[in-house]
Amino acid sequence: MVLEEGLSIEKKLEILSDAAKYDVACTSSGMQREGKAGELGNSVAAGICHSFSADGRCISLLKVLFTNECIFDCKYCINRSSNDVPRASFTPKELCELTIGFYKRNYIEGLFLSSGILHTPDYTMELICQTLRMLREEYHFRGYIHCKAIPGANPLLVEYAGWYADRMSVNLELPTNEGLRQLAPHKSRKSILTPMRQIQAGIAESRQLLGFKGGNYGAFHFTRQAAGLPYRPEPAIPEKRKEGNHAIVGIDSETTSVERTGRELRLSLLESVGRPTGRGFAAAGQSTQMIIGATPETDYQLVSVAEALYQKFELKRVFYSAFVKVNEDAMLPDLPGGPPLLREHRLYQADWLLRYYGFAAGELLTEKRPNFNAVLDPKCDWAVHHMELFPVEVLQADYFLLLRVPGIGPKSAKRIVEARRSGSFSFEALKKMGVVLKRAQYFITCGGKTLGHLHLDETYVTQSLMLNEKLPKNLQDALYGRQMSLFELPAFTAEAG
Amino acid sequence: MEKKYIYRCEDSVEGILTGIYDAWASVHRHEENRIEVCRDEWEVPLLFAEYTDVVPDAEKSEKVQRSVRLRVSEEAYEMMMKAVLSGDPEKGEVIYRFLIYAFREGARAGRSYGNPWVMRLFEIVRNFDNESHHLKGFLRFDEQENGLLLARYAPKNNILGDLMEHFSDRMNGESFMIFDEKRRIAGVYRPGTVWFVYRLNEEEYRAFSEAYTQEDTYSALWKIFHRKIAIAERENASLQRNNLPLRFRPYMTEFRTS
Repeated sequence: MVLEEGLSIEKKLEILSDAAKYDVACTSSGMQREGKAGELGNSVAAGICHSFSADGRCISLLKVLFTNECIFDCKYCINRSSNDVPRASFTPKELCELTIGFYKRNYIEGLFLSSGILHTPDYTMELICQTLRMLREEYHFRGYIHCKAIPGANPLLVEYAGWYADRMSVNLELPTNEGLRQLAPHKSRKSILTPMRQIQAGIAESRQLLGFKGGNYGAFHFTRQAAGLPYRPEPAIPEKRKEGNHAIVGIDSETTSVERTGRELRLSLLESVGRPTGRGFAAAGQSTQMIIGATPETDYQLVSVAEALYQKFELKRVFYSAFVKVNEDAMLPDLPGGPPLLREHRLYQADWLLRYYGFAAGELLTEKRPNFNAVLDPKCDWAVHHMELFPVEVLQADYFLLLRVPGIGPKSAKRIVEARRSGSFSFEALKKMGVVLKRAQYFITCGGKTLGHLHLDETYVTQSLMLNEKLPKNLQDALYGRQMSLFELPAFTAEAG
Repeated sequence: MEKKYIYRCEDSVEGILTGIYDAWASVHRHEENRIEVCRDEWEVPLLFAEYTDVVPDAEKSEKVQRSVRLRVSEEAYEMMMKAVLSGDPEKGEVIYRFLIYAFREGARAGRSYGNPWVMRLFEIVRNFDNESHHLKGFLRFDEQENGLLLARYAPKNNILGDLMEHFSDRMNGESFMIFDEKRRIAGVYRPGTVWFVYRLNEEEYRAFSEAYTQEDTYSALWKIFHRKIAIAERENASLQRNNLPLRFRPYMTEFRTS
């Protein structure tokens, strides 16, 4: 192992993994690639978790920063330039040896490389590119690589990285321009969305030219397609654009100009970059992450932004990261109850509803009801407000109607559809198929029968669901820390009926 | 009490499928037959039962496999073969009951989850697949002095074939061995050859158990990484335990002390 002068590799790894831990995404999914003689590694579409850390999060990739030096001063970030923390940088060779050494022992599925900004965005992005190239071409590494595009880096370098990486991501960080201005003064909507658009175009082009190399369409795409829902709707309504700092409109209003720049950039780049085409361009798709609770956006804004990212940027995943206050700064909120984990949990639930269930953001929340219910999950909350659609007869309802029932998910809905071809079945069988009856029982009939007394009353069902609901313990704490009382539950606030 | 005819089979593909073949070919009704797979533990014999010790027969086993592929489906065949390798004590009986249903129902049988035997088989297969998927991530190799990568584990299901397929593709340039402590079998791969599985004798078993653990630079670095990547403010041992059950940890580098 080659060491850089000064810090030992142990010390560097300590600093640069510690500095990378706030990045959420550690998934290694979206790419199916067989091994090849003379190379090390393959990739499994479903992704593989190799371990779980003390916080219960999955470890799939060697998630490190190239460097935690940074010229930016983002107020929420531990590596902000004004912080006095120990700094370190890997060399490309050190990172390659670490990745290979870990991979051979089956510690990891691959590398997730992010970075602070050393000298300039270009300088940093170039080091990242060097590392990826070395790993692929000199170490013949065929495993998974997730790589961050540094906002503000030359598009040529982003392009270069995309041909070596399986997944690319650019962190949106904060969902509104205003939020960015306050907390990340060196970043802008434009510097984030431009590479995002470029990566989207790269993926689409590589798909067209080279075929479907990985799972570069996300679940959102497939669900919308299967449900016959519009995937890429008409551009935003013009008058809304004037409202300025509005999360949802924010993305819309920038779409046209960013889209155009993205395409022009790509046209000019296509000729100049030598492309290793065996893998495709970021063929496992693109993801992003938003910090939750550092700025005052509502859940409605966040979910709408996520939806817009899936719709317009064809992202594979949007990740949500409960804000952990690591810096003292007047601009940052106090979080006496700790990171907003329950809120993060609800956002992930809603994200699943968008991607796998065919829900639209506007069905889950509205401007008038902009935040998730603390006690009921988003789907139960939706269902108790739509009692007129129930009960659903499970032996007859189509797949997407089944998915609307609390307690029925994509897996159990598919099993129901398969199983009923061979005849009817019981509630007991439904349970074994994975249906959570303690939720579903208020909304279904099975062969005309009900499980117990079916009483389609919003208040009754809401209260019954609440009694049955048990949040994970760490989230219970989060719940009581939040000023959300029983009186805010739909049963108490909605009109009777 | 109705008399039962119990077919006791060796715990192998041939043993179990021969048992099913013999039961099927017998003069008894299906309801009177039962398939039992031999385990190490002492089992209390049933009073009103006639026991037959099944003699494994490659030809009978082949016949069962062929009929399932032809008359039911490839999917049902795959389910059956995984169930045979599973650690479920009732697997023989479940496969037998499933096949009775499947030969009647045809190609759909593998997904007729309303039938309790299909569901039982499905659960066994799911458990097999889940464990196999888990261990593709949780298995740990230690590099021996001669460069050999050696892994040790004790899974509930016999997933060694799955793992050998996976790792011989992934690490086709490395020599490695995976050692199943519970079944005392080992999978071996060398670059340029086809992997194989063999049963360890007492001496080899002891040698493997002892020579195994090798701490090196990378194992030390991995422990550092594993510790540093956790967010203290989010510490959550029960979530960690749900995702990574304790039974896997004795074999995992990052949970090894010293």
